[in-house]
Amino acid sequence: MHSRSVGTAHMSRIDKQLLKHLLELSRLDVPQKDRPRLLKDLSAILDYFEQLKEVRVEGAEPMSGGTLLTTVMRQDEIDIELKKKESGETGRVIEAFPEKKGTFLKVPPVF
Amino acid sequence: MAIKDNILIRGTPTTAASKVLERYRAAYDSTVIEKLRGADAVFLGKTNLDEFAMGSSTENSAFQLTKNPHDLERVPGGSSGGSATAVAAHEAITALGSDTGGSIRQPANFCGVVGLKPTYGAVSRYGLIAMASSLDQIGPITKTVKDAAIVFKVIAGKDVFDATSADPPPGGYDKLLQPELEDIKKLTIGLPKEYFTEGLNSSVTEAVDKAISALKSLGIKFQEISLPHTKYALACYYIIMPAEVSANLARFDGIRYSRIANLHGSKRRSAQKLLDTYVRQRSEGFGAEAKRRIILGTFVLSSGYYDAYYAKAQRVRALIKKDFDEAFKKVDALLTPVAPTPAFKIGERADDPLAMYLSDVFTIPVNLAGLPAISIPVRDAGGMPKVPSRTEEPKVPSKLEGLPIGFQLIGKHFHETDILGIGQYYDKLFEPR
Repeated sequence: MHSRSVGTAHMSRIDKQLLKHLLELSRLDVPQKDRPRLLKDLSAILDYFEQLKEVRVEGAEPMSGGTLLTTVMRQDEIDIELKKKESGETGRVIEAFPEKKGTFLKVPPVF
Repeated sequence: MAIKDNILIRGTPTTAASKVLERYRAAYDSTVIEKLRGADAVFLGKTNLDEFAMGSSTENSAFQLTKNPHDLERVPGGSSGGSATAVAAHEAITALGSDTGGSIRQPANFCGVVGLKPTYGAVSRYGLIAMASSLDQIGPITKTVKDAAIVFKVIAGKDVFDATSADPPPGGYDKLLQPELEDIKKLTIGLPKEYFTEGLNSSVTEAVDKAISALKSLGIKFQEISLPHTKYALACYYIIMPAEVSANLARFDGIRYSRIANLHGSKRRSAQKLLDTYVRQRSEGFGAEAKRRIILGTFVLSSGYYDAYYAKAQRVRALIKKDFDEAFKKVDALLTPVAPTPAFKIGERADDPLAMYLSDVFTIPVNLAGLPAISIPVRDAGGMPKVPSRTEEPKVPSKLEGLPIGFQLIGKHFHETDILGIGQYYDKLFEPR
């Protein structure tokens, strides 16, 4: 979903235009009157990030998770104990749907 | 036990202190709850938190304000402020919290109770509402270190429902509950000089010094060490964590789980589109801090900024972990303050997100490196609750006696036994005779 940038990435400001774009990506809306304050807070936080510029990271592999475990796989088979444990769970998940028709999740029209 | 309200208990409301989950009922038990049921635990209720565990004072809850039982004008810390308060005020014997950047240890520190953040992967996260999945960990908040060890032993272990969970190395937890003084005496504790800076409140320095003296009296040796990348940990964390938050909170779209009340208002349902549902649910449902972190996370992950922020932070994270790896070649555990100041006043930092973030400066590096750490109240400083006796009626010290201050012990990966062992012998020094 988020593409890696090629080219020259640089530390930057979030301006009104970029904030509008980020809000669209985030499926959020913030009232116009609250946006100057939000921009100010975000700027202060980005300024704080500037200090990372001075860290020399050559040779450091990106740490992408909290663990050194590599892909953990599970046998592709039905586990009777697990099935027992999960019994009734589907019903409770469906029950929690905000809107439903029978056992189907009801979604507003896309267009 | 009191349970932080971001941990699922089947059939009961679980809100994560957010309006977006106001009407949600958990469909299943989290693994920690299932394990505790097996040990006959009784769950008294759910406790308040900062919305989705995002905050350091519990002021970000959409529902209630939690006050520090030692001084009602002050915050209990956060985000597990409700759990720490419930234990400190003797409403529950123990509680569960979750810790992404200090959310168990910092409120424990502010409320004068014990808080353990286990090794990343030591406790299953299945059924914990995710905030930042590479950092989150569930742990106990208790009155004594021994109680923390008892609860940890019950909830720890590999779980098929959490692929990041793991068992300790063989024999790893054998001496959790019966540490031997001979083993403890052989340990060397490192004091990272970067954690004892000028910005430290003098009462914190004084209290931590008392803890060091007490541990020296047990025969434990101390050594100054250095963790050179410490000062970059906070910036690193505030890039990685929001990135994960923006992904994890995407699921609260008003279609699944729970929908805020009157989402569609008086408008006719047929006039509503899917996008309106998403945007209204999220804009009206999330609080200011959640929105700030979603926007920040979306920014650091987006094309054109990814390398400068997210990719850079991931590399800095590796360097922070390497600092700890190097230190643990010389020493067995580390001792540091938990927070730069004691509990601050309600409202004092609510309008300044950066000032709020700074209260986690000593706890965050531990999460980035995935290490276990415990916050233990300094028992002979200020208004610290002594180790409670089993027969005497507990009393919350008044604020005249001073605010609680704790110290933090950081251990090697899956070496909870070391820090819980040191802590249990520390507590023994102050047990009523």
